[in-house]
Amino acid sequence: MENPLEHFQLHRVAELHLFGLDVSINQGVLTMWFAVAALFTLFAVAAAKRETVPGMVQNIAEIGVEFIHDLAEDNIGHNGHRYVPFLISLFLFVLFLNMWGLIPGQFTVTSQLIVTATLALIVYAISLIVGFYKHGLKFLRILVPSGTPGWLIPLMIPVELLSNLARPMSLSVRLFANMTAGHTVLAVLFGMVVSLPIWVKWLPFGLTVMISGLEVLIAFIQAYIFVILTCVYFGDAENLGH
Amino acid sequence: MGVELVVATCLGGGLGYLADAKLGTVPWLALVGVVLGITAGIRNVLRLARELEDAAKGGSGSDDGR
Repeated sequence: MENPLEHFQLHRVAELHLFGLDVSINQGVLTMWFAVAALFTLFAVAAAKRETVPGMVQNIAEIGVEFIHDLAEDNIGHNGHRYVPFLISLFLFVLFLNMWGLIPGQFTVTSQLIVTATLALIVYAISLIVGFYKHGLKFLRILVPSGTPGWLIPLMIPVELLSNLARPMSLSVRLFANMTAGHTVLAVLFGMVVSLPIWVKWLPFGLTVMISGLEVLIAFIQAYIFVILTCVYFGDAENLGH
Repeated sequence: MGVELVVATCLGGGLGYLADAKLGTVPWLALVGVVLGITAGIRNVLRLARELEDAAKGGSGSDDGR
């Protein structure tokens, strides 16, 4: 049976060395470029006409934007609309990459921890910058939740510090683990379809069909969770977390 | 959700171990770190559950809830 983890391997498409760094282009980078180009084209087409009664493409784009807009307003507060451009880019980028990976033979970029970790660190950095910019050193009060009794403060500061530092890690690991696990299961089952004798092939094959359906759902949910947690972290930075 | 527990525990233990290695007090700070990490993880799970619930309700509780 073929190695079910093989399709997570990166293959170099072009060698590239800049300033002593190895920045070779692999298929993951190509997929991300494609994702950016596809999403950019979608919105360029959608925004080209700006009709009052939207056509199909414009409708899709508007539904997406409104969805994220409501999410931002609900979770960040009255300043939420400022983050909508970033949030919608993040959501559509992750959603596109998750969905794209489900097409057989295509590479799942979000199954690479380095990609999800980079996204999560960008989110974390923005939330820290916003927090310190808006509140100055008072932003450190998020380490002491409101209503903490005085004698608990020495204990709460390390706990809150850890829980805050764990945020970018759990954000990246959640997306990466969900995508990797789902694709590994699919690969194992497909391997069984190939290697088992003909009279039991139908069993793993039926399972791949069902799990593929589940994976579509997970691809959407994970993109949604990624963005909603981003909103929550930005909301904490905006409103000092209470 | 489970991710929160694992990540926070590993982070606490890892930071504790790093501090141990620097100071030469090997098991102790790592143990303290693990305990704090577990606490932080449980706290994160509770907070996450509350916030996802607020988000699912759809905005009505967004300003008074936090």
